[in-house]
Amino acid sequence: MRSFVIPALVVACGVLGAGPLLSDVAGQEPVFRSGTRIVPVVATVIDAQGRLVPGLEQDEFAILDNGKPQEITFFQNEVQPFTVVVMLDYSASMTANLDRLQAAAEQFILRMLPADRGQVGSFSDKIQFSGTFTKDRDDLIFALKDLQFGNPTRLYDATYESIAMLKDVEGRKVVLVFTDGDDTASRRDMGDVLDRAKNDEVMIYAIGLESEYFNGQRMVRTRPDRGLRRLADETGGGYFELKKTDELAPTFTRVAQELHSQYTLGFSPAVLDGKEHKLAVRMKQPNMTARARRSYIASPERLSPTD
Amino acid sequence: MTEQEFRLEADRALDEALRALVPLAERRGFDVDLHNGVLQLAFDSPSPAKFVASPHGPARQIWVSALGRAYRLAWHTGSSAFVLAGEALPALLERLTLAFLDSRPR
Repeated sequence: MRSFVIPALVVACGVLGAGPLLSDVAGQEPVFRSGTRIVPVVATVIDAQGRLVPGLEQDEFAILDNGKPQEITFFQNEVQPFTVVVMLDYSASMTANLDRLQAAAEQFILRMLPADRGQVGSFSDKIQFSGTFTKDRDDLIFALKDLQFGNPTRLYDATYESIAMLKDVEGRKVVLVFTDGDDTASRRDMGDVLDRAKNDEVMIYAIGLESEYFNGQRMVRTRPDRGLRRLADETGGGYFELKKTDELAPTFTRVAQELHSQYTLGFSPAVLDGKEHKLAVRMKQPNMTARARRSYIASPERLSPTD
Repeated sequence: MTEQEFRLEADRALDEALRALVPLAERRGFDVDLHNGVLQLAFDSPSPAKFVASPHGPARQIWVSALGRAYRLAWHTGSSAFVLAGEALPALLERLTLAFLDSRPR
């Protein structure tokens, strides 16, 4: 009989070979048995003030597949580990704010739990990664200071390559990208990044900062790229647009807390037609909202390898 | 507990833990630092390591990351402290610190 450990594999794969249902023995990892498929959906719940709402139970949620309500066959409200690429804009416009950006990213890294893994990277005309995924926060913080500056902003290339770095990672996969401007030099566009993120089941968190800098002739005001919000919305991540550098550290902290306050839901799709299906997570309580990825591919080819 | 009350109590608890750990840090030679609301204990021996305690506002808890595990301490009204299985933050950190310092080098 085939079985899957939950949640790591479930979150890693869009549609999994899985069991008539979940078997959960106290003190053990829950497992799915073979015979059907489960679509995993990671959800963030916020209240009317935008505050995170942890600790909810399954009956607070509803999942819609192409608008049709689904029975929730898997539910997890415990903290789940994640693997993250923290990708930072080190282009010229950020020169004056680099210390604050590094301090803010450090706040995120410090809040990573022992099972979380990450690497850091930067983009400008170059795209640079710290190397390998690690649980060592000191290594990650040190690497922040070892990243290089440049001039153009290859935002989409960097985001795309960050997703690619997560290709062989199991479990919840996250790209946290920070920028203060528009993409100016990428070969890839927002559509390429979105397709790749959806295909690889990566959540994109984006932090955009409006800023001012002197370009050698005059003061220039930058605005974060408009495509970031869509990337975050479609992949179930989050988008935060800031006007002051003072907001950087609280926002990086917020993302860390959000990643530790999420829910994993699962349902068995009625059909596997190979098409993209619209997904929606609704809350029963009117003052709460759930954010989750907005689609999945109902394809049997996306079954994960099983033992 | 409101968010504001949580912040106040979490700041107080982390500050209390810092003050409780300073004598041990001086005796046993490790660094303890409270900065931007995050308490860090940094060790060079028996092997390089770091413990981190930080408030998690949405859960109204203080989370400790140490010895490869996460510990989540919730507010206990009776003792007016953040506790895990009856153990308050300073005591938990001291116990974990001693367990680590007295362990063999990796």
